[in-house]
Amino acid sequence: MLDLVMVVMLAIAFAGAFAYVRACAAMTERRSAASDEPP
Amino acid sequence: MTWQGGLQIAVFAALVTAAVKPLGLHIAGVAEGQGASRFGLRRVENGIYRLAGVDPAEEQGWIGYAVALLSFHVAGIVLLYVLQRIQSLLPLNPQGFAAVGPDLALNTAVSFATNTSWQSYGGETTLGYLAQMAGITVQSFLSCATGVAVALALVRGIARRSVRTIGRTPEYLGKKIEANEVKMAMVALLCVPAFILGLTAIAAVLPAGLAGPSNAGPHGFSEMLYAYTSAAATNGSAFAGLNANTPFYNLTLAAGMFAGRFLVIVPVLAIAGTLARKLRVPASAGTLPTHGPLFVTFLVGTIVIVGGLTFFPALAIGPLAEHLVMHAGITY
Repeated sequence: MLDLVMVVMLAIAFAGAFAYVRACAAMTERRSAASDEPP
Repeated sequence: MTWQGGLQIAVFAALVTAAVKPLGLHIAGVAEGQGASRFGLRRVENGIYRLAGVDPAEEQGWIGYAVALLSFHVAGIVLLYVLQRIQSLLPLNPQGFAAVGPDLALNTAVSFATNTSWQSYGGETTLGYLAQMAGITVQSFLSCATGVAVALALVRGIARRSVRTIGRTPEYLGKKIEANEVKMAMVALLCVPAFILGLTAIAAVLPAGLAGPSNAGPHGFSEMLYAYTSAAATNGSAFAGLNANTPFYNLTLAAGMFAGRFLVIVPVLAIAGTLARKLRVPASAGTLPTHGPLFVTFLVGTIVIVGGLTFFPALAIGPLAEHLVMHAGITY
């Protein structure tokens, strides 16, 4: 039972980490509009 | 020291020294994209690529790199967790150690997969040989290896693309740092203290957290603050006096280690990705050289100010308060 709790917590942590990757990706994708670098 | 101990140190030092050149050349070859061309490892590497369905010629963007790295650690943490939980059923456990408890197993799995090496347990009285060999030792190596992979990605991000106009001096990085890189650097910089201070605050108000320190007052607070700092900085040391082998500390410290490792790596990879896309620009009158005294002053000033603003309040009620009342003869 407790193992299930641990696995769920780990799943939540990694889901958060993957969402964090997506959030960072969203922020960096916005850069192309603001950047003066050529595409 | 026994002669066996001395011999072990001498042999270890000799082996490390002898490995410097061949291993250095090997790592340089891998880093430069030539693959594992030395020691006949090419075939092994190609076999692993085939098994994993990876095309070695295909480059990865930073998002793919980050997702692959996280996925790799999902597998590593789960494997180490399971190894500890079922060690009593597995071979190479001559002392007959029982299964490690769930919260301690999770803490230990996250600890070694994040290269923190925080140990809430006595190693010799908790883990059997198999869990040590196939779990702890393997993750100790793999966590370093993934750290090197991230560092190489950042170096490639800075070094990619040749100069289009004039040459570059060795010190000049030639990539414009723009708002986005600063944003990612801030995220990497702030998420660690957020977890350190947030988790310490939680521990300082909950009974389960207050049960950990064996000292009262500011010294007890310092024990908690140091534990979460050590975890989130993936350092792994602790003040004597903190009993951290409890479900509360095992789980919250695991959260700190997880955040301190992965929430830093992701924005660093994002910086590598955006830098890699940029063209090199020649230095001009508007360039702030990163090797000059002005930049060094900015850098040191930023570290001192941000570090001070972030941690001073917590330090004031911990070690600073303890030091001041010590002069009044009060100790904890």
